[in-house]
Amino acid sequence: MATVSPECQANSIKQEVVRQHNKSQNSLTYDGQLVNDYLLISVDPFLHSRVSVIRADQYFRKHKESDLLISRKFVKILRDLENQLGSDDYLKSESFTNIRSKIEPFISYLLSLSPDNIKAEATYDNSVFFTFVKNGKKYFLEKYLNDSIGFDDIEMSLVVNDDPENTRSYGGTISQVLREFNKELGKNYLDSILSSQRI
Amino acid sequence: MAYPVQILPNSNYKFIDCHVGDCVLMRTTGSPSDEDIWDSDLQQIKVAQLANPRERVYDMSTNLLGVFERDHCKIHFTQTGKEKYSVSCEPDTVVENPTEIIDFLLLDTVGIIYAKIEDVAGIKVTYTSGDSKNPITYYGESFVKHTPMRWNFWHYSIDWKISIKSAGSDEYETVPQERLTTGMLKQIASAARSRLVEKFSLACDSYNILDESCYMKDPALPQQIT
Repeated sequence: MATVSPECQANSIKQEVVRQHNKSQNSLTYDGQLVNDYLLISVDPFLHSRVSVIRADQYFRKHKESDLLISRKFVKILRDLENQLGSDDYLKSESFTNIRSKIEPFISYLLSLSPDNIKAEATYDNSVFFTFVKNGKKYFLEKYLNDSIGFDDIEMSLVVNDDPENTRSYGGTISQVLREFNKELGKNYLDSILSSQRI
Repeated sequence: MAYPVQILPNSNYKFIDCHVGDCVLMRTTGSPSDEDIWDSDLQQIKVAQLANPRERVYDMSTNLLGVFERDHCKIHFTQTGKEKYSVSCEPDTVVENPTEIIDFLLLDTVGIIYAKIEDVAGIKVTYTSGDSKNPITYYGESFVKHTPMRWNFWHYSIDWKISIKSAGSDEYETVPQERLTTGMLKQIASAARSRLVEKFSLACDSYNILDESCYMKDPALPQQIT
């Protein structure tokens, strides 16, 4: 019987985990670092072996939970929007399917940033207004639903209220605004690290 | 029900000229249910309730709490009534009393949200739009203005003054509303929404009532009943 080296065995299991993991993903991607983490820490205690064993059950349990949570949040956001449109006399004429098709990728993107909380509301100005909370800070994103925009128009806006003396508002194309949003989230991340170090 | 004449403009009234920072503004919402108005997770007013119905959020109608009481928020004008009374006017305009059913109805299906004037006035916003290499920057500041209407002397508006920095100087130049682009108007409305949902609340524990000298030309005169 051919002997399989521990490294080879570990590699093949790792590949299988990555393959299954990728198969289970739709649009969300991970960088593989978590798989490596599991590989390094999981030495089988029962056999007292030095063979690295991937605790695939732990890995998948964790990631299925996180994906499930994202899916649940995703569905909840859409369900809340649908309920709002159905119960509001002024918004009843809006087609939920139409709104949904325009914001689904955007919701996926926002959820991939692991917000502490996120809410979406349709407005009377043909837009969807998102409140995104991360590390205790609120960000307000408004996605306009017009099919085409004029030269002096915007596709999206972002409002950051963390400075009581000066609210910052960004407007432009989706990519321009998301670039600013990422910069703001970067500042937020640094602030949270600095404040935790002070503690 | 007879229309509350104390909220109508009056020949003895003038524009309110006292400090009103600690007074409270009320705004009606489309639903009386706290659950529909307040987002308990985010601890803020729901956006749809703040601007309902299709209305310019950057020029928001409110009423000054005091002589104008909570029950007066139930007054809902018919189309005929709107044409006659939903019009700006001078504070001392003499107005014919609106008639129930023809001009107005009383609705129990409205809710009320509250904000202190000093909380919603003076909010500063820096707006940046376009490419980060060649951004367009302009500035906004909210203000609260007494804007009497034929149906209600106690009508106030929350509005935004927009300005740009003049080229080559530190001076600010006000941009008139008609010069604001579609994109700017959207951005101003979005920033207004995001600030005001946090400033309004469901309850008002106490409020300041203005002295008559603040809004009457001659407080010694008996109030004219039109």
